[in-house]
Amino acid sequence: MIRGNQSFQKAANIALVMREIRHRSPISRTEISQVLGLTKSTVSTIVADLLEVGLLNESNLVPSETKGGRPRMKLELKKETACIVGVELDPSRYKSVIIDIDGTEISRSTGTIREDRRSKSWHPDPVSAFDSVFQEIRQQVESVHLPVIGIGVGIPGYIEPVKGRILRSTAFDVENMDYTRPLSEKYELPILVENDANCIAWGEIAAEESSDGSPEKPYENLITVLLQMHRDLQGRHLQSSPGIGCGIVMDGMVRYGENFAAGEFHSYRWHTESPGQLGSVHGGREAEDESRFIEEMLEELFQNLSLGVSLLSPARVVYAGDLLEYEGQMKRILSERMAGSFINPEVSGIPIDAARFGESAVAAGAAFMLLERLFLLPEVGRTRPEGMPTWNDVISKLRAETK
Amino acid sequence: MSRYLGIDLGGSTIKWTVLENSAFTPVETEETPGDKKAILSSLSGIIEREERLRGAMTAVCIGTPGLVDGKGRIRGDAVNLPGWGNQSPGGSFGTLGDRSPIVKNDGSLATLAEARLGAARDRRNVVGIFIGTGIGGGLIIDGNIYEGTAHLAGEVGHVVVEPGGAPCPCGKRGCVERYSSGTGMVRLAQEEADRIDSPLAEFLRKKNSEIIANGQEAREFSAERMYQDFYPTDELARTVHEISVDRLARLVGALINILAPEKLVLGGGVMKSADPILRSLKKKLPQYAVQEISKGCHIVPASLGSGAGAIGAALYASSITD
Repeated sequence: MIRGNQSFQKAANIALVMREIRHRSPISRTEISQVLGLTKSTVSTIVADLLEVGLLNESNLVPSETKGGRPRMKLELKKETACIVGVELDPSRYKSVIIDIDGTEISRSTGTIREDRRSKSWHPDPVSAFDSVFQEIRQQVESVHLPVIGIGVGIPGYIEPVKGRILRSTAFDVENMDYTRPLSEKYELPILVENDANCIAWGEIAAEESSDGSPEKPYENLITVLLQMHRDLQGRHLQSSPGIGCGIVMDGMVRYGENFAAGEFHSYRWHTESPGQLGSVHGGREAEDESRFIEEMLEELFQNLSLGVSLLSPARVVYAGDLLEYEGQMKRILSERMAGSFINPEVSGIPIDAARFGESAVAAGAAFMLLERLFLLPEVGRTRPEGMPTWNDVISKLRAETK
Repeated sequence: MSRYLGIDLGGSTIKWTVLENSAFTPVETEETPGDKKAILSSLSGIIEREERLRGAMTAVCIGTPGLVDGKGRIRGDAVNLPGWGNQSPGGSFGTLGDRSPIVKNDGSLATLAEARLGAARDRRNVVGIFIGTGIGGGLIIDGNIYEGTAHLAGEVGHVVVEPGGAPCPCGKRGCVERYSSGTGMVRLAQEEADRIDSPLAEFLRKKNSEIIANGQEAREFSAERMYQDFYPTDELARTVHEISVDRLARLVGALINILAPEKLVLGGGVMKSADPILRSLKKKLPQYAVQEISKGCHIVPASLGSGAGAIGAALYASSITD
């Protein structure tokens, strides 16, 4: 919500100061001023606002290095001032995670989409699904007693995060839906939407932000893989084929490509009779076929993934969703049958790990998507989601809360 | 005065150009010598001559086939430059005279040139695929070469598109290069000639007899010749074309699905027969690429010709030293 050059500059300066405090805390005003090249008075004014609303802690940690000088006051992010909610929406269930502004997880929960929100064809309307979830996460939020900066929502499908639109979601059976604007207006909160596999990527990038500054950059270039079997509450498959999505991180940024379509999974074994994204797996999956089905699916998934790994040379592949359930089979297939599919030892030796937030990776990532964007320098461009708050907005909100 | 020398070291020719005052000198060419020592001597000679003629170079960049890591080492053996693999740190070319050249993969440099000045001019997210003796390529993300963590991104030739398929000198099976490169198409034609009777099969059988009789290679046959003299009337040529384009479409589909680029540039010697290849590729693509993504990606033939690698090398040298 940036208006005019002055407001933009102010928002950029606050983001710069917050980034420095996040990465180098505890840090003094003078050090921030030196590192950023901002005047001491600019830094002091920004810090005063941030202290006033409780986003920072100030402590007298280190004696001044100058003889006889005053001890320098050190600044760091203050926990438990405000929170961000992340939600993973699936046709039948949801997961939510609440994080602090320093990325600490405060709580997580999981639940089902209420029956009355689901249509006869099991496809719920994603707006109604969110309404159903919101009532439940409202209680979760109230229990942590913190103002909410915003909500990030992870949804399967083609998502246009800048305009908050669902371009197409097979799981929810919707196309070209203006999603976040009506929800943001209804709940008077910034609500952002992102593709679910991209959410995992945001969660992993956040891990880099909180890492110890090691020269290794495990999160700078990575591929995330999310597999969802879309089962109903009785464990029955809701779709004839699993949903598979990838997130691509290149040079530390989630990559969207043209029309926000990067990271699409489409097997080269797919053919016109294939029910979904895979080609080798056919319908009619009875219980006794389940094991064979999983085996075929995993092999085809990783055969295709080897193309992506060869082409992008990532540092890691991160998996989540129902792949967590098949870890044993997956690793066996990779070691027994996939040798020789990756381009060379440097690339084939890359780690293939579970996402850092495990089964809540999409929900946590949806929250981190909003948090990481808050710490990014505000930009007037195609990658800034409409309704994305700045630190100015956060400060205003916290001021209003304390009145 | 800043001056940048870009050299493209290929298996058969060395090409170079100088970028000065935002203008390139005409791309010059000489034959690639047969051994490593002679190649190094040729490269030194080119640098020396250009410096004598134009003045000291601010930077020199050499494009080479094969996997080039972040330290400029060629990893493994480049198909066209046998014996160059895993050279000492500091680059496969070490120091040439008093120059320490920057070494980059030739496909990445050619893609950079096409993205800045060629068929994908002013596009920031571009994929290049260059089909010649082998298959090279590159990824341009946000206007710059993307290399990935092991500096091996965009090495498209050795992507496995046929698990368990034809063995490749890289050690794997089913690399796209074994089906869709010039040598891959010749291999396919030789294999399929046992099964399909046609004028091309007859031609190849005759050549094979000559090889057996004379111990010589059948130099007269190439993918370019197949398209020029046999395609589309010959059944064997059509079969080779069909298989080769299908495997290429798997690669192109994967690239489009993963990256959703603005443009995908196809170049290289084999693409002199671009029309039938491009036509069939576009027909095949819906099987391998998601329609929503592929409709946003324009597949176009390269426009800078065989000098793209040298131009890209000079551009890269200028972009990292300016």
